[in-house]
Amino acid sequence: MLKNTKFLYTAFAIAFIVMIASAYWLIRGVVDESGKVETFTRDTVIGVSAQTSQELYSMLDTLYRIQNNDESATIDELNKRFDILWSRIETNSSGQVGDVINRIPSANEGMQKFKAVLTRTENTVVNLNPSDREAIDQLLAEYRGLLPVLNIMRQTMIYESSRASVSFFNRVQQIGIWAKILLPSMLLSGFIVAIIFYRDRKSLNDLTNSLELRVEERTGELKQSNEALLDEIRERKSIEEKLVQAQKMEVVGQLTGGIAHDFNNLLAIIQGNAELLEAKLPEDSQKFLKPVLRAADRGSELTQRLLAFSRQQPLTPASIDLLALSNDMTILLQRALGAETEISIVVEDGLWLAHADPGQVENALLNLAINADHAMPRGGRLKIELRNTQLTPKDVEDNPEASPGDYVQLSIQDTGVGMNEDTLRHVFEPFFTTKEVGKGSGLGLSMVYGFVRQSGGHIDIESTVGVGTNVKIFLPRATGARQPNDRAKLNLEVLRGDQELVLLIEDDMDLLTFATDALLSLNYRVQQAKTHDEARKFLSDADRVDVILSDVIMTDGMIGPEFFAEFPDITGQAAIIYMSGLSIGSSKRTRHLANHPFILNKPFKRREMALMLHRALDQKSLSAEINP
Amino acid sequence: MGQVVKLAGVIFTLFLATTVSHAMDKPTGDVILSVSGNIELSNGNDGQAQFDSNMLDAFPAHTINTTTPWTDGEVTFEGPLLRDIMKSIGATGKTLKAIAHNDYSVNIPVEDYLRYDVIIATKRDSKEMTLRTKGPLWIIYPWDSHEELKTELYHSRSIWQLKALEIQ
Repeated sequence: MLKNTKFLYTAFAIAFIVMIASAYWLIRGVVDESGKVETFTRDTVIGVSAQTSQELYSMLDTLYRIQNNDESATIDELNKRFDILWSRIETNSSGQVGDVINRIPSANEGMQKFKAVLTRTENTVVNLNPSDREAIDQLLAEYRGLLPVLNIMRQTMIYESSRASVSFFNRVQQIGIWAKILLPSMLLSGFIVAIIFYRDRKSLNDLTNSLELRVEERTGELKQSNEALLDEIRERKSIEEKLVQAQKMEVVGQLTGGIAHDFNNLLAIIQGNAELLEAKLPEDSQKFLKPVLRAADRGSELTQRLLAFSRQQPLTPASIDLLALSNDMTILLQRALGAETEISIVVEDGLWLAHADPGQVENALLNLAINADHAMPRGGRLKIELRNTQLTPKDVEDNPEASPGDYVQLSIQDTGVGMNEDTLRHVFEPFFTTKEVGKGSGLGLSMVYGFVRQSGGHIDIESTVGVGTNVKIFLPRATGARQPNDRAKLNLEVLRGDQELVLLIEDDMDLLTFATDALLSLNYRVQQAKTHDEARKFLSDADRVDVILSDVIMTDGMIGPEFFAEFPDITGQAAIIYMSGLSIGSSKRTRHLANHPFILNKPFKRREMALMLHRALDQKSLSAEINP
Repeated sequence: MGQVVKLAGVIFTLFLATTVSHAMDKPTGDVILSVSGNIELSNGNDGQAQFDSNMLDAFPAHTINTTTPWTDGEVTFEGPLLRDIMKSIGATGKTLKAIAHNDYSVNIPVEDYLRYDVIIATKRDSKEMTLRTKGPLWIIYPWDSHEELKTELYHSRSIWQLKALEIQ
C-alpha cells in the first residue's frame, strides 16, 4: 500500500511538472510570436517598406519635374529627396526592423539593390546640372528600376507579416486547446492528490488506532495471564513451603521425641543413682549432690515438654465445651495479662463439642495468651473466637497438615507487634524464641503445636507486623454423645478460694508466675517468695498465712520442712503443700515427706492445684474443728 | 560674412531677450522646426513659430539613453524637451500633428509629452543628425525607462526627419 502511494506521488509529481512546463512553453511561444507580429506590423516593417516606396516616388517626382523644367523643382530638393532615401539604407538594416529584413532573403536582396543604386548615383545627384538631360534620364531609369524591387519587398513584408500573424493566432488557438486540456488536468490531478493525501492520512490514523487498540488488548491479556501465572507460582511456592515446613516439623518432632525418650531414661538413671548416693554420702558432701538432683528435675520437666511437642505425651481426650473452658480461663488470663489488656470472647451459636484433652487445651490457651501478652507490652485487645468449621478437601488443598472434616476453631487474636514472615516460618520449632535469653523456653508454641497435631487437629498462624497475630487452633469435632463435661467447670467453680492468703515459695520464675496467676484466678491472695530469705522476711512479720505452697528443695539447698521449722507458730496453723519435681521419698532427705498429705507433682495443672488447695484448706479447717 | 551675420543675430537675440521678455526671437540660421496652430507667440509668416538650431540649443538639454526598433544597441539622444518648447510659445491644444521631410505625419497627444519626458532630439550619440541619419530632428520617447511605451503606438509617434508641428 505504501509502495503504491509512493508510485502515485511520483507519477503525479512528474505529471504536474510536465503540465507546468507545457504551460510555460505555450505562453512563452505566444509572447515570442506576439513580438514578431509587432515587428511586422504596418508601422514598423510594413510601414518601413511602404514609406521607402513613398520616398522613392517623391524622388522620381522631383526628377520628372526637373526634366520638365518645372520651376518648383530644385537641385536642393533633389538632394533632400536623395538624402531621405539614403537614410533608408541605415534604417532598413538596423535594429529589429533590419533583423527582419536581413532574415528574409528577397527583402535583403532588394535592400542590396537599393543601396547599390543610391551609391552608384550619389555623385550624379549631388553634381547634377538641370540641363543635363542624359544624366536625368539615366537617374530616372535607375530609380524607376527600383520600383518593382521595393514593390516585391513590400509584398514580401506583407506576406511575412501575415504569416507571423497567422502563426501567432494558430499559437493562440493551440493555447486555447491546451488550456482546455491542461487546466482541467491540473485541477483533476490536484484533486486526486488531495484525495490520496486524505485517504492516506485517514488509513494511517485508522491503522494507528487499531494498532494501539490491539496493543492495549494484548497487553491486558498478557497482564492477566501473567497475573494468573504469578498467582499460581505464589500458591505453588506457598504449598511447597508449607509442605517443607510440615515435613520439617515431622522430622524435628520424631527427632525430639526420640531424644526426649532416651534422655528421660538417662535422667532416670542419673536421678536414681544420685538419690542412692545421697543416702550413702556423708552429710557435708551431700550439698554437691543437690544441684545434680535439681538438674535432673529440670531435665525431666524439659523432656515432658519435648514429648508434648513430639506428640507423645499421654493425653486423655474428652468431649469438651470450649466456650465453658474459655470462660473459666478468662479470669485467670485477665489476672495474668493485667488490666491494660481487654479480653473478649466471640462465639458462634450452636458451637460443637471438641474432642481433646481439656487440660492441654487450657495449657495451650494459657501459653498463647502469655505470648500475646508479651507481644503487647503496653496492653491491647485479646480476642478469643470460637466457631464451627467444615473443611472440604479443597479447603485443605494448600495445607498439607490439615485434613477435611468438621472442626471447632479456637482462635486467639492479639493487637500486638506481630511477626515477620521469617519468624512465622520458624515459630513452631522447638527452642525457637524471639524473647530475651532466659525469658522464654522456646517450647510454648511447640507444645501447643504438638498437642493440637496429636489431637488430630491442626494449627494456623497469621501475623502482620504492627497489626497483630492470630493463632487458629482447629480441634476435631467430638463425634460421640455429649459427655458430662461440666464436671471440670463445676469443680473449678466449687474449688475457688475465698481470698485466703497463700505464701508461694518457688525459685523457678516461670512456675512462680504460673502458680501466682493460677492462684489469683482461683480467688486466692498470693505472697510470692523467690528465696527462703524473702519467705523468712515475710514470715517474721506475718500474723497469719492460710496456705504455704512451697518448692521442696530451694536453690539455697534448704529443704522445705527444715525451713518451716523456724516458724512453728505460723506454719503450724497453715496448710502446707509441697511442689516437687522429683518423686517424693526417693532420697533420704525427702523420705520423711512421703507421708505428707499434700504434694503437687511438677508439672501440675491448674485444676490439680485448685483441688489440692481445696483439700488442704478442708483438712486444715477440719483439724481446727477437732483441735480448736 | 555669414559669421558676422550670425553674430549680429545672436546679439540681437540677446537684446530682445533682455528688453522684451514675451516677444519671440527671429531665427538667424536655417529654420529647422516650424510650429503652427494654437500658439501665443510667433516669429514667422502665417503666425508660425520658427526655430533654428541655436534657438533649440538654448533650451535645457535633456538626454535619453534607450534602444529603438530602428537602431542597433543603446543610443544616447540629446535635445530639448518637447514640453519646454511648446510651453515657451504658449501652445495650447490636445493634439500635436507632426510632419516629416519624407512626408510622413503622425498625431501626438499633448498628454504624451506632459506625462513623459519626450524630447526633440538634435543629437544622436553626441553627433548632430542630418537627413541621411534621420535628422535633423527626431522625437524620442524614453522607452527603456518606461516599458509601457514599447508598443507599436508609441513607436509610430517617434517621427524622424521632423520639420513641422501643428497644435490643435
